[in-house]
Amino acid sequence: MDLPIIKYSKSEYIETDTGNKVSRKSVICGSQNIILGGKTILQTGSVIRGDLRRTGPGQAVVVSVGRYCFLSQGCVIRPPCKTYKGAFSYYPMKIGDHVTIGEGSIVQAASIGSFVSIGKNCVIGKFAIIKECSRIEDNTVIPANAVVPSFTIYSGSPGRLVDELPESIQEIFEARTKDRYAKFVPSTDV
Amino acid sequence: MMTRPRLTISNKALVCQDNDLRGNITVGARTVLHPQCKVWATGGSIIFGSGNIVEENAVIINRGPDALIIGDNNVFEVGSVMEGAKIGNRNTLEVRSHVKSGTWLGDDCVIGAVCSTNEGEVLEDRTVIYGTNNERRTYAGNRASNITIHTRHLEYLMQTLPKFNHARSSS
Repeated sequence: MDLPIIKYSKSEYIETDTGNKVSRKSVICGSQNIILGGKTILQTGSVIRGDLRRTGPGQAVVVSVGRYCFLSQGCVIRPPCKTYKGAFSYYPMKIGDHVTIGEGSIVQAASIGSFVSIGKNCVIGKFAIIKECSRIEDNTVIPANAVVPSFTIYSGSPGRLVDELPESIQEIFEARTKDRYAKFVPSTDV
Repeated sequence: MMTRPRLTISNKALVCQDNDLRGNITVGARTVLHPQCKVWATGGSIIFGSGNIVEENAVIINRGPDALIIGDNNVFEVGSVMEGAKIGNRNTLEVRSHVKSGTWLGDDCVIGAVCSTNEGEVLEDRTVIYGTNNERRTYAGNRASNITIHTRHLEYLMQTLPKFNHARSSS
């Protein structure tokens, strides 16, 4: 379970005061509406749509991402949309701490709890709710409005429950995301 | 060397910058092209009708010699790939769906998430493709409510996207 050291070129990534590492090759629309909790990594080609904000005044946060999250290459985070009482709007999305999102996954969930691991090439439908401490396997399609309970593993298209996770999974995910952040280092030969 | 795309954009359309447009492209009124979408008219030209939405990472390719004519009110969601030869009106290509080359899409079709069509297939009106094995059925419901949602969605995008993105104009 030892993670490899990932080296990145220092010129490609921007490091913020709170330790977020954001690739210059990622696409961030409406950055004033996005919150990154700190020590979160955004890799090359990932897209966050902060411009699709809720209509009307007030609360402007569109996407909030917690600490120690890892958004891999080419993943798309976009808020979900629906019509409610005759008005069409996009709604804010919340992602907890220690969340890993795999390469090429497309997330349109309403909320993702802490300690969640999403595999490669997954599709998380609109307004899906993913509870804490769960795992979504590679290539899974979670349909719109679905709820993934805590301590479960979902897989397939449409995603179905395939297994359960032990209660210790919180510590395992936490250790792994911290380890990954520590091993995401700039390459020395510039 | 990439040549500059020849764009003809209606003044009521919204084409964001930082997307990848190649070749001869015509965009009709009320059509929205999100940032990061790819429209490649490497063969013939691509002509959009009115009220289409092309989301980020969606790819529309026309490799053939003939023009690809896209009807009205179609939605190309995130990561969908359109290589087909013809597409009618009010179709939805869901997240990461794939319309393979030579496919003819009728009206009111839905290609579900991660589903794909066969090459050179002709899809009748109201076909729905869903599930892991690309199963098909005919849509029996009423599309009227979907059309009102679609027009509201367009209104929202027309209002909100220009606040955060720069728009392209005809070249």
